[in-house]
Amino acid sequence: MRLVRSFLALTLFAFAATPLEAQRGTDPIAKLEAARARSPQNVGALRGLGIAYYKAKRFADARTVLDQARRIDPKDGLSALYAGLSAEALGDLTNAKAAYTSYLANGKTRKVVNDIRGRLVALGRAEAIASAKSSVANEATISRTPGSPLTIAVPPLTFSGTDSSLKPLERGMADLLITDLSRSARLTVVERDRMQALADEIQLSQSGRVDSSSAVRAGKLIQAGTLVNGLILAPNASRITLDARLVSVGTGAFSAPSTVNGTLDALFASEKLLVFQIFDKLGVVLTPAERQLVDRRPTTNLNAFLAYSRGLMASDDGRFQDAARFFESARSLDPGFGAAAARAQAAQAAVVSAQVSAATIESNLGSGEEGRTVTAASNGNTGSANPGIVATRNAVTAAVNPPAVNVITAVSSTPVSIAPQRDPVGTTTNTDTPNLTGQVVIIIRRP
Amino acid sequence: MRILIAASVLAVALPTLATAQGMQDAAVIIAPQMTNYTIGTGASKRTISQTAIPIVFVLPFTDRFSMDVTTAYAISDVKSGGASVSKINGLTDTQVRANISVGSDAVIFTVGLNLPTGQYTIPPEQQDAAGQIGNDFLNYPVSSMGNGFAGTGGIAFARPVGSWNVGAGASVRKSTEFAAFEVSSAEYRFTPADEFRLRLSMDRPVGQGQVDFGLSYSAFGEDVADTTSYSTGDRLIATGSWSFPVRSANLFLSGWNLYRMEGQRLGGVSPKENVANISAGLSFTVKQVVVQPNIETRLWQVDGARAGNLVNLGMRLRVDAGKFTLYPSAGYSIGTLYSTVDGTGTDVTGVRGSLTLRWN
Repeated sequence: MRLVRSFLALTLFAFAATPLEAQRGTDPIAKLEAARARSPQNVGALRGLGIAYYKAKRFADARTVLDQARRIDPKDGLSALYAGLSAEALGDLTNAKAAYTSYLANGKTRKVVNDIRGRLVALGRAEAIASAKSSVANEATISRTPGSPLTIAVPPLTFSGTDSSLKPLERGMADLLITDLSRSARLTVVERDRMQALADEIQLSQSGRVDSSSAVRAGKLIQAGTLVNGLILAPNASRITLDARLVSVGTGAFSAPSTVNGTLDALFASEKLLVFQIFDKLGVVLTPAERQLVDRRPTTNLNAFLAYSRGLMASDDGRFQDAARFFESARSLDPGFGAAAARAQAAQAAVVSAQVSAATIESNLGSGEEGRTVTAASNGNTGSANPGIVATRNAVTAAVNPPAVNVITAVSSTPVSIAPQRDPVGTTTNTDTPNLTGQVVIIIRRP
Repeated sequence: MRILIAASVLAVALPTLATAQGMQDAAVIIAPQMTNYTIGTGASKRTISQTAIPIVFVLPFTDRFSMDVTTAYAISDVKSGGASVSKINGLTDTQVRANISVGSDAVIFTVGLNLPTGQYTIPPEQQDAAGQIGNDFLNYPVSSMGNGFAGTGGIAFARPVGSWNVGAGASVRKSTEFAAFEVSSAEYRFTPADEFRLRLSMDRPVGQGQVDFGLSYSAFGEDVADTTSYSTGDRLIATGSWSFPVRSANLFLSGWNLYRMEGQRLGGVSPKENVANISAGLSFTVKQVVVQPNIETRLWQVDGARAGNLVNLGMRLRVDAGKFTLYPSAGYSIGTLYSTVDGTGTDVTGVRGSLTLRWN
């Protein structure tokens, strides 16, 4: 009995100290900073601290510790996700994209993976716009550095004709030329989205026409050496002429035009003739493999291509819902039109992304493994390098060394009851049967 | 024996005083709960009730070493025809558990001590109440007032296998002799059997939710009651659960099945027994209070014959209030107990309530 009293006294003494300790560390950030101080290389501590910083809107601090966690464990999806959210909050779209891309590879919450897919599309567009704004803002510095003549930019072509339904071909033909010119390993072709963002920024298109001096300005800003200045002439319903001139961004000099006359039905064949002429003018000799790739036609269905071109126009205007519809229409008109399918998916993702905020992403982490880790971090708990494994291991531990009394301290994730432990005396003496109305246990001792 | 107890107590208590790393996560849990089952009607009506106040101290000394200490005060009462016929109350045994993790969080060593602070040498008028609370089917919160000094040692580990987390563990529990009953002014000595326990479990995320399965096998040696040995049968416990979000709520489906093999007990064969239990709970948040209505059904078979069924309807809440978290719960049970001799049924109804308080 004295021993029992001693034990209780020791225990009570220990517990008396508990509230003081608890008071000392109720701030989640303080708790996690202390955990990091104890284990500076512990991914769980760094991740937890980064999440806590993010939730406290200390985005720069969050990014620093989350990047450290990612360096130690590049496959830690949750660190990548919160690094992305922090970078985005800081306006660092490039690093946000990189971190989100890492989450796509390593994240475990399917709903959030889908959210991030959409967000990456939106970020790509936002990054292009930000880059364009930055280029215009720093025009004086950038313009002094001429681009290589083999760095090519293709702004939207200019349409001239009576049938306005063909006007979207301005974007579609530029897209085709960019795709084909990119087949050559010798050329660096500026991405369409980047070019478009810059064009928008400096109002390259004015009243539907491309101003050549503005195009040159855009070329300088994007550090292209050569612009492909194109024209689509459609004087009547059947005839169509494609015309292209190369513009030297450094000198402003125009090359002699490359012109291909054809019919609307032979539009794709005309585009191929034009692009080979451009290669010739650039002095680029294609390898047989490159030539084969250039010869490929993404579609031969004119209506599908027109729908695709409308989709590009809608997408450039930020009308992603319309864009998704046009690209989907193009894909259904030609199921083999891969670019249309890819653009439809991207536009749809952008639509979804417009409805997804950082708060939505956090909410969609739910009560799964990653959601539980975030909740733990919010409460100042480090979690583990692998929280799922720790949960599994703890469940096994509780099963092999079960508590004497089951006290349930969780509501949404614990069973209503737990299988009982054996009461050895009751089982052996059969005194645990509840519906016996009378029971006599006779114990006869051996002499 | 006393020296052993003293050494053990010091071994587990000293770290509490020596270090405080991780102690900011220490918690005290007090969980008063009441369980009351009424069996039969009229003159043969029996009521078995228990009011228990478990207290748990959670002591995470470091991120690798933690302890918890559990004890309870319990009052168990058996009434027949409205009058108390057997009653036992007092402190139960005290359980001390310590866990030490090693490596990259994958392996844990666990030890446990059952300290004999409970009720022993139970006189005849208390024996009915002491025995009834051990029933596996009705599953009282405190199933025993005292099991003697015992020690448990075990190991558990887990590792990812594909998209699953797979865990395994094993433990040994060694018990010592204690005075179970008072019989004719003499002590009736009892030594619980040694227990060897094996656990396998696996879990994985499924969509936005989680699924897990587990299997525990407990092999028992021989219980020694006075001078005679008995073996009441090994136990197999299977568990499973699946939780997943449903709109803004979370649905939790779970089940367990306890199978006890045939054995020997005082007075003859201890027939095999099976208790199956499934439950469902839907939790959602209303003004920062987590609410979970739930339903549970349980079936009891003895030697293949039905012995009872029970349906529990309940409600659990979680209310956060600063450093305190409250878990109020209430439930109502209805079912039937069947005679394993002639199959006649006896109605059983029950109510239960609890108010768990966790202080961090």
